[in-house]
Amino acid sequence: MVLDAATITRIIFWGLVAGSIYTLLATGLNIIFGVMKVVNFAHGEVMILGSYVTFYLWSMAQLNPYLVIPVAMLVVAGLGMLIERLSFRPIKGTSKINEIFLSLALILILQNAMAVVAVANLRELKPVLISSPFRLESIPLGPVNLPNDFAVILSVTALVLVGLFLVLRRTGFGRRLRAVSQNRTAAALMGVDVERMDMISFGIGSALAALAGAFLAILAPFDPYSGTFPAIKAFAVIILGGLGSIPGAVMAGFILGLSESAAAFLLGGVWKDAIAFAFLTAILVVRPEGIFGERG
Amino acid sequence: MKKGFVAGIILLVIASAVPMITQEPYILQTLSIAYVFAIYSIGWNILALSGQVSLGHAAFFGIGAYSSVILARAYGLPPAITVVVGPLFTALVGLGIGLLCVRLKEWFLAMVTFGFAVIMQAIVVDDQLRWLTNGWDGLLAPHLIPPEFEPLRVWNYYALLAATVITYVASYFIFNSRLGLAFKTIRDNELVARVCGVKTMRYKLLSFVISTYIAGVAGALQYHVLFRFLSPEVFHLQTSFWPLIFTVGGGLGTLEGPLIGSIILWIAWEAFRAIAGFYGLIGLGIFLALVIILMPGGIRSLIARAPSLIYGLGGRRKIISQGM
Amino acid sequence: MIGNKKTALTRLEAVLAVLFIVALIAAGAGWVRPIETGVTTVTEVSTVTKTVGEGQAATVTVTETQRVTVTETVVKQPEAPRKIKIGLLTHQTGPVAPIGQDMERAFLLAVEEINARGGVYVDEFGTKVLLEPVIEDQQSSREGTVAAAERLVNVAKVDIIVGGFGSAFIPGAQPIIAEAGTPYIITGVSTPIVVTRTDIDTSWFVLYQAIAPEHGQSISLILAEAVRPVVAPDRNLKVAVLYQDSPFGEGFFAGMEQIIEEKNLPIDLVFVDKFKVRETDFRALLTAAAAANPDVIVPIGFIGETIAVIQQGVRDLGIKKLYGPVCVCVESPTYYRDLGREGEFSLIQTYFGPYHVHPRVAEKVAEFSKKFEERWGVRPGSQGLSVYDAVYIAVKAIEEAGTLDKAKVAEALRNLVMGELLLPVPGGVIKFQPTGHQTFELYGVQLIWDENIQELRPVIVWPKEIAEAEVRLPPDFQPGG
Repeated sequence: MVLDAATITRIIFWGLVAGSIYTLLATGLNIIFGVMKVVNFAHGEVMILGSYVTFYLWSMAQLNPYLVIPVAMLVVAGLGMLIERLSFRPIKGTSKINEIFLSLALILILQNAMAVVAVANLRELKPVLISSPFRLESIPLGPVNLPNDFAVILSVTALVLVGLFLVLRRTGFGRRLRAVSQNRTAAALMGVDVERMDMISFGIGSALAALAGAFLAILAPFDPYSGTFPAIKAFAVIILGGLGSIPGAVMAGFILGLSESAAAFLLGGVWKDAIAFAFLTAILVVRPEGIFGERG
Repeated sequence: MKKGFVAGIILLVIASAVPMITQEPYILQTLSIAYVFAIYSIGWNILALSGQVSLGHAAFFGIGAYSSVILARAYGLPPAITVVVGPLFTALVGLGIGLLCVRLKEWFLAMVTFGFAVIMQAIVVDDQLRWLTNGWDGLLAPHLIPPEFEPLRVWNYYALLAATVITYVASYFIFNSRLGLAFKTIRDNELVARVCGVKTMRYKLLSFVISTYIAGVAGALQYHVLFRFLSPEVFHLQTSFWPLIFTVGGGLGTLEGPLIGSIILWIAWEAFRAIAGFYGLIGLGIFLALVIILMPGGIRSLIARAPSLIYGLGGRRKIISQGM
Repeated sequence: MIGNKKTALTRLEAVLAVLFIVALIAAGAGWVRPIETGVTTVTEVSTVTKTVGEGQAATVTVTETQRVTVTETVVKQPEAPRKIKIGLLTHQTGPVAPIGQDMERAFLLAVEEINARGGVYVDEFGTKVLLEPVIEDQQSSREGTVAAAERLVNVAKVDIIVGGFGSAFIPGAQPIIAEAGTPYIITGVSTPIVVTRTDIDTSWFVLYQAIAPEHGQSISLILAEAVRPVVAPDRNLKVAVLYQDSPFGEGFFAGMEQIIEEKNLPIDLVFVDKFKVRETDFRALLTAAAAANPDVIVPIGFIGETIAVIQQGVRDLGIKKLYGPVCVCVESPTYYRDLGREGEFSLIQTYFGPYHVHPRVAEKVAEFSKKFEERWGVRPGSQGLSVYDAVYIAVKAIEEAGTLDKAKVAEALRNLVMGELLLPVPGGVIKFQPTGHQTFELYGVQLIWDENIQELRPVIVWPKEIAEAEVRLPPDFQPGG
């Protein structure tokens, strides 16, 4: 195998790109976890919901797909809040495993509901994708070509993450949200409506998932079942980064993307996931609370 | 305690009587699958009892199946022996994973175990192990029951029922021994357990070993009795989720939870299949969500309170005492 | 636990308890329902046989009288003593449902067609008998497949089974079907183990599908005979293979390798690697493949994976090689639409597609496709075609056997000789090999961009006898070295 500088650059570059998409998904999960201390395993299905909503809006409106993404995010955020209100709130505080159980039930409901709608609309269930107007254009960057779609996706991801960071740091709302995530009881005593915060955080998390889903739909074909594995990997990312830590999630996202890319290149495609998880295990054995997690 | 014993005997009698009432293969098969799930879930539950949640029990289920099938094929040992001996290897692997995970908690542990199932599949299909596992071409599993036993399905049914009873009794003794007490103490508060003189690490590892051994037996039984064609598909995500669904649905951390959950939920699963297609699965999802929302303690909590159901519906919400 | 207030049941829990009981009743109904229908249909015994007599002419009259009743009530048919229960194993839910749906639709279409003609003539009854379709869901899982097979053979007690998809699923269901002694025409499996295994009685099974090694062999042949003369007439063709880590992918690759060695084909496999099922990101893998500098990159995977490999290779990585021949399993209109311009010049190794067909069966297939589209609003896929054929093969076998006795039907299947149906078979005659396997005649197409419809369209390039054109190279093609 020829291992020259250009090839290595490419591997690193595509690892980073893959990482940025995990990051988006993981950040959503992390916000939900931070506030509610629950993990929604059905996050991947919420993401695919975003893919489908974007797909339908795009094919109905015949617009540039990027323009309909905000609408899709709003729709999915609303659905996310509904899910929180109807299912996660009633079981809150019972047991962590109950949340996983509930997530598995949600996966069943969401996957099959999406399949019903897809069959009703498209008459079949074959994987579909959104054809972006820039799909064949790219910007040359030395040894790599940055397709325009990726340029848009990377910059939107960066903007959204920075925006989110600013909202969380600089606004009153962000302070309330962080207060709930640091100490729920204290925040409630200070007059923060914690249940409302739960719903809003779930909404934000779902909107971010929808954004990731829309990007996914532009990059590769998807069907109702495409979400499960990426979501579990996103979960691995927040575990690796340290639960609740956003900088940790960003960093872990890139680590995962890079290690997958390297594993696929050096060991072969079958080992991609396996190596990512072996890496996760190795890091957790050394630091059981994740890279940025708090000890205790 | 006594009530539970009586109920258990009644259930056992009913279960043994099923083939005498009906030999409808579909009913026997559905119950047989449920019994394998019950064994698997009981194993998973023992790990959960010590406060450790695994999302990757498919790895142990699969290793158990592979080691037993390989032993039976390579050395011509009767499967009745290999389903007991083969999973010892699973327990060994479980010990190794337990050692890795001993410092990990909750989600962290869940994720590492999940990852282990992914890694296992990659290992099993690797070309270097082809001579052993035959890669994706899979292995044909010798049948547990020799062919001269007729009718086969009834023998299958009783074999799995017997295995379930043995596992259940074993888990009864674990639950009611010092071992079970230690597991529960660790689950409730590891620090307190340590202060009380419980060697937490040793017990956590022990629960890993026991749990993975039982999961391995369940895997071996499923392939020697029911499926008989073993392929790396066994490490699929869904295999890891089954015991969680059944145990939590039945009643997490309780003795009878996994058994009740496996049988009732698997029958419900089959029932929802009667509604063809996606709607059946949507219905199933809603059903499962309702189960956990309305009964966070699992179905067991409903059955335990069944007597009050009669009073409750009669308008007299009488609080009754109950033994457990 | 004395005095614990939580012991009283809430109203919600009572509701749930009721729901639970309903579910259990539904379970019971699920068990009972199919048996019931089986029992009730047997009640009427035909007396028509006497008046009609025997022979071809008589059958025609029966057909005509039946046609009236069929169009009016469709289900009720007084003459026949019972219906022939034909079962379909397919995936109605789960990740394999997209393929399963195609199979189910083709199956129903075939059954409707046969019933519209009055059904199947069974000598034993001296009359034509209608088909009763029974469909069971494999649920994209092992447990689901086993349960589905169990319901087909032991609850619905079908006379014959067709379909079934997944090399990892079907072998698990075979013992049940063999034990119950039900003939089964397998269509959706690419591993030969289903007919060659020795631990069960495989005489109940026939496999109507090209097996993976055969697919792999024809991929190598297309590369050697159609691609190499254009790309590298004076040296060995350099090929990179990326295949799915599954029985299907592995079988394809094994076939490719085997024939290269056997026939000493002028092909060098310069890069070989696997990817996981449902993989979406191939960029690292493609980078590695490109580093080996091949002429051709052959991705072997399902539709989503194949589209992703080609698009990421062409668009994201700018790998200007020839792609394919890819697996026939991509064949569907969505492939031609979603692959887009990036897929121009890529090849498919195939036996049927939505926009191309083997010239020998072109007419029949066009007619079928039209009917399929009218009925379902979409075009049929390759799995649908094999199921459709399988229904006709099943019917033919029952007619030959002249009885619904399962052992005789299975024997008739094994000895069947009939003209090819929708799928091209070698020699134009369906005749199962001694192992019980029937292969298809495979050919290769290349996709060319059609400016008018802004979609890709196929051109047959292999084998020579039916080729419409030579393989073309992309304008910016970079040969390997």
